[in-house]
Amino acid sequence: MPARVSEALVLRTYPLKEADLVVSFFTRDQGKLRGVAKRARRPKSPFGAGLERLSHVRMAYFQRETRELVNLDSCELIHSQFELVSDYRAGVALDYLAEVSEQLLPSAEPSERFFRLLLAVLEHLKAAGGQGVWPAVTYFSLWAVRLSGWLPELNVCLGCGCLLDDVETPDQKAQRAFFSRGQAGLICGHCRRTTGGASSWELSAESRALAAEMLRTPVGRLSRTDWDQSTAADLRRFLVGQIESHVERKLVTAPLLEEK
Amino acid sequence: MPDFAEPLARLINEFKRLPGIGQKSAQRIAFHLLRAGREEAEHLSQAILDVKDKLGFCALCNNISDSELCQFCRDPNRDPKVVCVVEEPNGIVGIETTRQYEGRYHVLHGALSPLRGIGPESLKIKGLVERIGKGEIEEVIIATNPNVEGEATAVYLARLLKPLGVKVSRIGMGIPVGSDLEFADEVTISKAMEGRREM
Repeated sequence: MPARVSEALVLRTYPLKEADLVVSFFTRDQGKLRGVAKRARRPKSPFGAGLERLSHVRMAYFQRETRELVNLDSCELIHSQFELVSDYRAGVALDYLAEVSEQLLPSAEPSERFFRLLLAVLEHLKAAGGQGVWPAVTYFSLWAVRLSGWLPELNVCLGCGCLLDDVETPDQKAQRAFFSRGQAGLICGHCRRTTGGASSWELSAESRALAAEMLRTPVGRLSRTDWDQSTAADLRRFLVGQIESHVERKLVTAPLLEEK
Repeated sequence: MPDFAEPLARLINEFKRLPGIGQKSAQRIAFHLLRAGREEAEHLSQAILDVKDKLGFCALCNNISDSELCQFCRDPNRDPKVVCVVEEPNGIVGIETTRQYEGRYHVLHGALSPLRGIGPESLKIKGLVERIGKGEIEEVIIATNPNVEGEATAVYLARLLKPLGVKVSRIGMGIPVGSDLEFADEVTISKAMEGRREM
């Protein structure tokens, strides 16, 4: 029965029995695991605030090969996100990050890049507070889709293969790009008309440029600083659509996040 | 699991579905009822049915009640100017054990939790705003749980209620009585320091 201590982010907890919790947590070295934290809901629990959503902790646990659930022993808090809940939107954003991670990450498969993505986004949220919600959520969604291997080319039409932004001739006006539910990429205006894509939405050239910048720049160093809810809303809708079609379920936090 | 007669196995299975009851406890309760007289079993089954048939929610505070208003809203000795907001009716039980609170209550029936799809419109907030609008309430004490969901709910309520001209306070958070500072984490200690009082 090996005892381990792993750096981890707590994704979600579910009540179990009278005072226990089932904890889903994402470790740096073992990937996403699930475990039982006994007596975690009691006031003098050894876990304290460490099992709150997206707490960055050092988790001590026992793992048995024949059992899916590990036994959580204790956790040492490295960083808490408790202060962020003073902003409602930031709190919903944290829930969104946790839900997407929970849905996308496979069990027991380490993903150093996803772990670093979560840490970077949390750090940005903490530094920028409520102001940082929209860049953080958009950046996270884009990279989460990319790390899962589902991000299509954002400058190529899925239908005819034409370039939506011709990088060779930057003076040329960018083509309009469209997406629809269940479609794995973007299509140009011509393909949209020929396929009768009435229930499709436009992904603006501005949002595509933002996405391209996000793929080469850390979240804290993005050139645009005046983000609000409407900034890259079409990009977020596209990315949430990609996530939902691959995990085959609706994200419950996405509509709450985009509520006016 | 041993092979029990079908009615007994069914009873054990039903007990096992209750919170905090595992296989052994379910067996113990089932065998106890088997040995008990018919009258005792009937009392138990009637009590369970009564809970389902005769209880509803208080029209004012949403607490569990067997009449239109619950015992706390009916009590003329309770201070109507102070209202304590709790997540669930069992939160009232915890506060009542102190015998120090003499105001009234408001039950939200949940806490904000986007992960579980619970937004502000899913909670019983409208009734609280209406009660405040009538001008009787002077102070609202928010006693939601000291976790992320409870804190988010408290912050949301404070922002909503303060402009209505009532005093909004939050129950203290920090080190549990009888524990040791050495074992408390940073969030617990920082909350305890925030809520310190002059002596």
